[in-house]
Amino acid sequence: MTGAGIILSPHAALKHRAQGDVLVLPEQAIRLGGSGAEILRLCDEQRTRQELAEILRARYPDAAGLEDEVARFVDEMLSLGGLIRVDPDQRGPHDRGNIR
Amino acid sequence: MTAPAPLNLIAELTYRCPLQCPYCSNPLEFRERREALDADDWGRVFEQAAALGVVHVGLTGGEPSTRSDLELILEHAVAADLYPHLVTAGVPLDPDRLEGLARLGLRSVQVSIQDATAQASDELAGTKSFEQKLALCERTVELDMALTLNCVLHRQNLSSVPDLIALAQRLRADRLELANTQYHGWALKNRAALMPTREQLAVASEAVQAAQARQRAGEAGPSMLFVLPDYFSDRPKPCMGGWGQLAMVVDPTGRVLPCHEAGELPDLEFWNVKDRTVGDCWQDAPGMRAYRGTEWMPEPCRSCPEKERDFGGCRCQAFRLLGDATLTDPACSLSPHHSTIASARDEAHDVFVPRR
Repeated sequence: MTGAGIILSPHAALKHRAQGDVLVLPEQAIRLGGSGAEILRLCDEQRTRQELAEILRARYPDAAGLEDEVARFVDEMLSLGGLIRVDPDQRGPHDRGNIR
Repeated sequence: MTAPAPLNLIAELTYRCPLQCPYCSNPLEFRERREALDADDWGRVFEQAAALGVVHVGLTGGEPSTRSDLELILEHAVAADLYPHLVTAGVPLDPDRLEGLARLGLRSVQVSIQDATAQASDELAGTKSFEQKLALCERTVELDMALTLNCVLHRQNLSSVPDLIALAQRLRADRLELANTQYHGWALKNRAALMPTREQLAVASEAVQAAQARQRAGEAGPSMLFVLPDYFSDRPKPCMGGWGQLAMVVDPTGRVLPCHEAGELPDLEFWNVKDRTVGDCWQDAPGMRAYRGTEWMPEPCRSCPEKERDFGGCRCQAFRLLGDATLTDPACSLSPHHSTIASARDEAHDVFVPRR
């Protein structure tokens, strides 16, 4: 699983409003707090969890517990369908067999 | 209290629908009502809703594809930076028109079916439509839009749940909504013929859980939503995420409502986008303010630790069953009127009141 990349679902959209950032899915909209939108913007292209954590660590060298927070957020987004897994040896995010 | 920012707009473009499902939650006398908003009116609604915070629009009805200007309405939604989602019964929308909508920026489609086979589905819908619905599902996936397959569940089709799961899998749907009937409109008239048994619900629920377990083990399949109907659970549903909190309905006449049924409640004044801005209608209409938050609540809700979770349940259900929208939803076992729910479970039988 460590080698598997993650990427924003092709069915997801990030919207910005005066009230903040929102992740929009086919049947759901979720307000994003903290660095949620920042993490999802990084997932415009395929990344591993480790890459995500490294990029954010470089931006916030002093943030306590950052890696755990990123991992928790990624897990939550995977279960909601905002992020999807891309197995490196498979065909890509638009193969629906992988969008789960 | 001050009005929160809504996220979701439910745009009821029309009351018209070619199907005659016996559980339709449309108002009973909806055929006499007219569509008051043209495509430009909807464009104005979308812009003002986006400025309030709305990010997602469900284009629904009735059947939205009965409108010949659906394309124009969709273009306005895209221009207002809303995520457009189409909720359709699949007729009269055909796959080629759907392709045009995809090109204009439609992102996702929910197709409703009435059962897992053509014969059963068409019989319930009162119209030959199943094969066209499936063709539409297939084209949705081919066009890389998200597909939700929706089936309203009740006494007559709950045993089809395993077949519905297999069908959603075969169609490569992203999501399967197994929605137990809400008893409003026609469904309340037909309640006794729609009411499932506990055994049916348990079997269906097990089929969903088994499919979810297979998915965890690696099988491809849709994410599934199966919620126990509130007649069979101890607590009411957090209807619409709370009155006037997250979702805004604009009905075909232009009224801004907290849910699509609330316009039927007596003595509540809602405002119309033909007369006022969407923001005014959402924030300040007396009807929108009536049950927002928790201050309106009677006992047993007022002192209940769960009041922020279910918001007292459904106002429309309280009115339909008890004649008083200000009471605790009788679906709650803490309601002093909960016995009305229990007796409805017992009066179940097999004959529909025909809609034609």
